[in-house]
Amino acid sequence: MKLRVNSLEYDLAVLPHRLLVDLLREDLGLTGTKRGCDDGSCGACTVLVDGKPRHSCLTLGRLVEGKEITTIEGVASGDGLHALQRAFVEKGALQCGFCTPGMVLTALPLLERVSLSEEEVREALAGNFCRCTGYTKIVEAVLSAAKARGRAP
Amino acid sequence: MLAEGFDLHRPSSVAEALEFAGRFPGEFRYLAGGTDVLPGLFHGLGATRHLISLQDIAELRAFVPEEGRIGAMVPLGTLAESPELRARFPAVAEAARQAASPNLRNSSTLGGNLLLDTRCTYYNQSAFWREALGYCLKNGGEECRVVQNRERCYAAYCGDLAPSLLVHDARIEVAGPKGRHLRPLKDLYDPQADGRTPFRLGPGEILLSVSLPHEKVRSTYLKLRARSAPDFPEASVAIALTLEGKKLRELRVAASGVATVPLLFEDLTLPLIGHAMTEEVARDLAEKVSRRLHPVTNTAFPPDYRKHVFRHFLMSGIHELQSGTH
Amino acid sequence: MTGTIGGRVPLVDGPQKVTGRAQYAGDLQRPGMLHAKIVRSTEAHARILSIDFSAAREVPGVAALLSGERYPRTFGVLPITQDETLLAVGKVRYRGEGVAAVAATTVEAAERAARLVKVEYEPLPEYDDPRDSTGGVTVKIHDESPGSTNLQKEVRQEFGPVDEAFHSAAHTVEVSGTFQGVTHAALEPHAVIAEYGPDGRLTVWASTQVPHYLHRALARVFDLPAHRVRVIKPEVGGGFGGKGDPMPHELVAAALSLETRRPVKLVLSREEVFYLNHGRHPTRNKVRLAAGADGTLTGLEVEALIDGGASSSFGTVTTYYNGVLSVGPYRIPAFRYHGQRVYTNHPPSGAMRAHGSVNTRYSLEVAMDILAERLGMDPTELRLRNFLPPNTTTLNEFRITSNSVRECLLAARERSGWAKKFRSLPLGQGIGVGCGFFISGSNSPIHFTPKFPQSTVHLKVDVDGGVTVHSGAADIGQGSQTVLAQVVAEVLGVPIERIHVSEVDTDTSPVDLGSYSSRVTFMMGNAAERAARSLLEQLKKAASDLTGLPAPSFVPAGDALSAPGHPEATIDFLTAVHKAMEHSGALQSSGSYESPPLGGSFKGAKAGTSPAYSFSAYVAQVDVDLDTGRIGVGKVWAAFDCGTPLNPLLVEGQIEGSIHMGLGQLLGEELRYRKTRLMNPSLLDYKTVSATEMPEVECLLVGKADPEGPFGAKEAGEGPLPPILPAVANAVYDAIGIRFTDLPLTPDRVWRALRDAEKAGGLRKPRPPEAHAR
Ligand SMILES: Cc1cc2nc3c(=O)[nH]c(=O)nc-3n(C[C@H](O)[C@H](O)[C@H](O)COP(=O)(O)OP(=O)(O)OC[C@H]3O[C@@H](n4cnc5c(N)ncnc54)[C@H](O)[C@@H]3O)c2cc1C
Ligand code: SF4
Ligand code: FES
Ligand code: FES
Repeated sequence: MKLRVNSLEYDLAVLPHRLLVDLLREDLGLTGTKRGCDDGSCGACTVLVDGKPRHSCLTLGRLVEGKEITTIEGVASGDGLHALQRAFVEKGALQCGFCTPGMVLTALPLLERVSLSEEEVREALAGNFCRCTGYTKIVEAVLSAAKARGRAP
Repeated sequence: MLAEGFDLHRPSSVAEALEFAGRFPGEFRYLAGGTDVLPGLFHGLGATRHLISLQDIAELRAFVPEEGRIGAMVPLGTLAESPELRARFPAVAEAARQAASPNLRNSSTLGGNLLLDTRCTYYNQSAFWREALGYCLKNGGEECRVVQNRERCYAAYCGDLAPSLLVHDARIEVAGPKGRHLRPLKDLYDPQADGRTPFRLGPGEILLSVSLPHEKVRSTYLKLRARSAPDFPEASVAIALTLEGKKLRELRVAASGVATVPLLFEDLTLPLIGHAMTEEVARDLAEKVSRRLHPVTNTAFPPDYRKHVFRHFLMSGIHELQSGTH
Repeated sequence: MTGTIGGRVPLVDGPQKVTGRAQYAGDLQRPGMLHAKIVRSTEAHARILSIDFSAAREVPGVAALLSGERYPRTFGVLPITQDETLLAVGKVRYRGEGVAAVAATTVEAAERAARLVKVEYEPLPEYDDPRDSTGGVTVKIHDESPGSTNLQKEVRQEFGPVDEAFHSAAHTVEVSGTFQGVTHAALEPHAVIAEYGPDGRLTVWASTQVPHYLHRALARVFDLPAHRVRVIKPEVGGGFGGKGDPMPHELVAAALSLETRRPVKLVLSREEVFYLNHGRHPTRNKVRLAAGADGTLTGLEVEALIDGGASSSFGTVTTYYNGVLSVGPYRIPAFRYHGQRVYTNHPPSGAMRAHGSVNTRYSLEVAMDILAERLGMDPTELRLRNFLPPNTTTLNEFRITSNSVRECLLAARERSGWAKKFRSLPLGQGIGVGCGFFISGSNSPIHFTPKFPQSTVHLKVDVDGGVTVHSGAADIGQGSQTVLAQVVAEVLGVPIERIHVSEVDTDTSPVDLGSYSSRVTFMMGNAAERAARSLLEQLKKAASDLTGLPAPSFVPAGDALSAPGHPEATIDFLTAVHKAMEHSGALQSSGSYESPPLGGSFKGAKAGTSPAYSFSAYVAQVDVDLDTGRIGVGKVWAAFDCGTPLNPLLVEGQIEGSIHMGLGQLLGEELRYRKTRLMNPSLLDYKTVSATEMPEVECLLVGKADPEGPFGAKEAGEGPLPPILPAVANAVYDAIGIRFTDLPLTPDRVWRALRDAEKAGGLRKPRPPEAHAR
């Protein structure tokens, strides 16, 4: 079957029980997508499926055939970091970095909103667990990236 | 990690889905967003030979908020973000907004939510955990671990959407081997049944859509959970209320997370129609309703607390709807 | 100086992490790799009668099956309590302990085979309540416990006239606290790959905080010379102490590789991480304070009964810390401690962020609040009256040098608007204070043989002018690599981009004891500074050779060495490097840190000694929902003395993260046991604080330079945690007049207390003290 990940097409055989997270990590070597739990609660495995953040650990590989998947490896375009990624680094929004891919992919679509408040950012991130940062600097980074686009106060 | 050993089917129409279902009697499950089915399968719960995915059936994804029609495969995220839905059926949009977590809501569907498997601390555990204790009634064992008995399972229905849809008098359309039919949503749940399978859905039947009547009703949804995401409701209440002058024209109350099925308390609210809704009436109603709740010690919070917060939510919800602070 | 020290320098490995390129142990693959799965005990305390592998052996792809007898050698992080085995031998001591293991070609095959392993048990009496473990034990969990107890460690200490202090006290206050177990819940589940190669060397990639101790454990259990064992630490997805012991599964992977001669990978499920635990000990404690009429503390008595779970881990240290870490930040003239750590059939407890200090600190700070109220004093005033000064010695002979606890409290009080709020906010709202202090690196290394410094850093300069830093200190997300790079760049006067910090690899990294006890910045930082200074001397010499000016006239700055007053003699860094390499072809240096001799000579005197201590004072403001009992923490003013903050961005991150973790323990996190059974081994059911519940945090870094810390720095990794719990609890008291001594304060427990208070005559704010803080 064909899988489109980060604008590249892959052709691979996928057994019915294979989860998207395992396809990405094991078959495609895209290990930026993380796995933090057994029950779909932590959000570390978040990827974009047709632009929407979804838990790749709760997604069967076969069922994303024909959809556009974006993983953390596909966020930076060209030479540098994406503005959101840069904000994460500069604002100290990551420590161990294990939640970071999921956080970035959850936050990315928020930048498209016409406006963004701190409360909205917190709500949007509430299903992504981070054990290091206390979320403070993650929220700050997202808001600063949104602000750079004129989307946040 | 999912165990190998099942086939995945992708019908593109309801008819085709029913055909698959007919081909594997007793050996299949429908798969919608999978956010309940898959965590179950990780733990060896609800294992099956065939998963029939409903994702390619366009009909199930139809969403016409102005007409109050929602296909079973519409993601909860879409419901949470729809301004039309929020304007007309506020409790429904609010329940969707509070379900699971923002990202999960992009996968979670309305149909899956209405048919969410009941939950219990002794059931939503790994295969290892359950084996170590010995299985319970819901799981092929002989005994319930929460309430010492051999007949009845007390697992809680914890879907967020059902109460709001119930108070908005929702109907569902169902397709089965014998054709399609409409029925009230409340008939989907069997209050007599225990926590094992409290759903009234025939073998192979597919939930197609939910439709909400057009009338204008004010409504709200309040949910008790440990954290703002992704926790399941520990007790929740939906209220729909309209006044004519000072008198109640309409009042409906429903609950989730406190019994094996979502509960609708028509017999308690009907007699109040045409009367004024005073503080006392509200308190009396809350008292009566809470006597019908049967939370047991199988979630994060203790039962008496869940009942207490339920009563509090019910009264403050009524107050909020009456005073129009919304 | 280039100004990297003290700057908000982002993590040097940030770009790798934010793009998903950073490699964690679970991301690694080795050619021909097998996958392992551990069969875990369904019993909490039982003799193993038999293990039947016959069905498992038939699963296609199975390469090896293992039980505990094959490698029965014990290990453990402390040399005196080596009581763990890689898999259970003879009997199991907690539910979830490994009893057997499988290696197979795929994860699926390993899991299937593991499920087919049949273990027969003979159940033994289970011990879940520590109170049942102090006597009358019929079947001991470990034979080593004395008499008919499950005692692992008992500490009794007494300093000064304790009985006298309590007899003559104007006021005494007693607080008994109950604390549930909490766990690290680092987001990365533990993972390991072990590869025993044809060259007879065992290489292990592990998500560990302590590569050096893992190295030792591997050599010991498999009886290999240490030079035939190599431990590599890739990126680690958070530790907080949970990766601070050599862990059984790491040895299992190694054993399976020894058996199969192939690389073996083992990734724990989240549930398994909960069984591995090593988290904060469930504890019952009692804190008694004696004070004079003016509020001067005259005595302190602490008792602690600590549930160690099934093995020792760091428990001996924990037992000491529960006592000795309460002798600050207040001057205590008389102190008595009785601590007992017992084994139970719970998963092992161990070291978790702010190890051993959180629970006693909670009861003590609540007791201070009660004492203040008794005295009619503002609790901030009471604390100010009793603080230890800088440059002093505690009565148990801790040497205190830099100490800005007073400045901390004054800053938090001022910024929070304390005077206007305390006892004056409406019912349901409140403000509270809590203080603390913590070690900045344990003075005593865990192993005394062979004798070597606590931290060593090597620097190697390449012909391209890049400086590679080798250190054994484990960056687990706290940013120690960044601090290393900052220190080296600062000393050499070069941009931080010149510095590459290599991952820990015991083949090339000098020994550092690891990331625990908040020792890294202080000890590794000092070692790095010394290594860099020694390198600088070589470069100055080179500059001198090039210019003829004496070496001491050169100062590093702006990627060059310049001699003030001799503008023509400025030598750029690369030129100096090339000159220095001219004859040797290499440019290297080393630096190390060894802490000064500290502590008294009584038994246990070394426990809690540290070359420096961090200090803290937090003020928290809360809003208690009187209908639902939910505690909302609105804002925290976190004043912290970490000496000179080398990197405020990272220090703030540590404070915010600590507050998150501390609030979790206070408000909702708990390992819920029903007898010995863990009821919530998942991230859905173990309630960490989510983004919406996290309060606003204002960090106030008011410390002054520590005389011995690198560039004046002390720790900031653990000390920021303890004060948040009592600060919030004291604020809750201010809000509703109810004291909570049993954690966590889940909304249902708060509601119950509110209801009881109403029944008992109504809910009221506590009365304001007569004397207000100015
Ligand atoms: C961490 C976590 C937290 C969660 N928190 C919440 C929460 O707070 N509130 C909440 O309500 N839910 C919660 N959920 C559960 C879940 O996400 C939602 O209930 C979701 O709406 C289920 O929909 P689904 O499409 O994913 O269902 P699926 O898992 O695909 O299906 C659920 C059940 O419905 C059946 N089914 C689905 N669609 C149909 C149909 N059209 N016809 C017939 N049968 C059908 C399936 O066979 C299955 O038995 C949570 C889940 C997770 C993993
Ligand atoms: S309520 Fe009883 S029978 Fe039902 S799932 Fe829970 S333990 Fe099992
Ligand atoms: S791995 Fe935790 S939600 Fe997917
Ligand atoms: S940075 Fe470690 S979990 Fe978020």
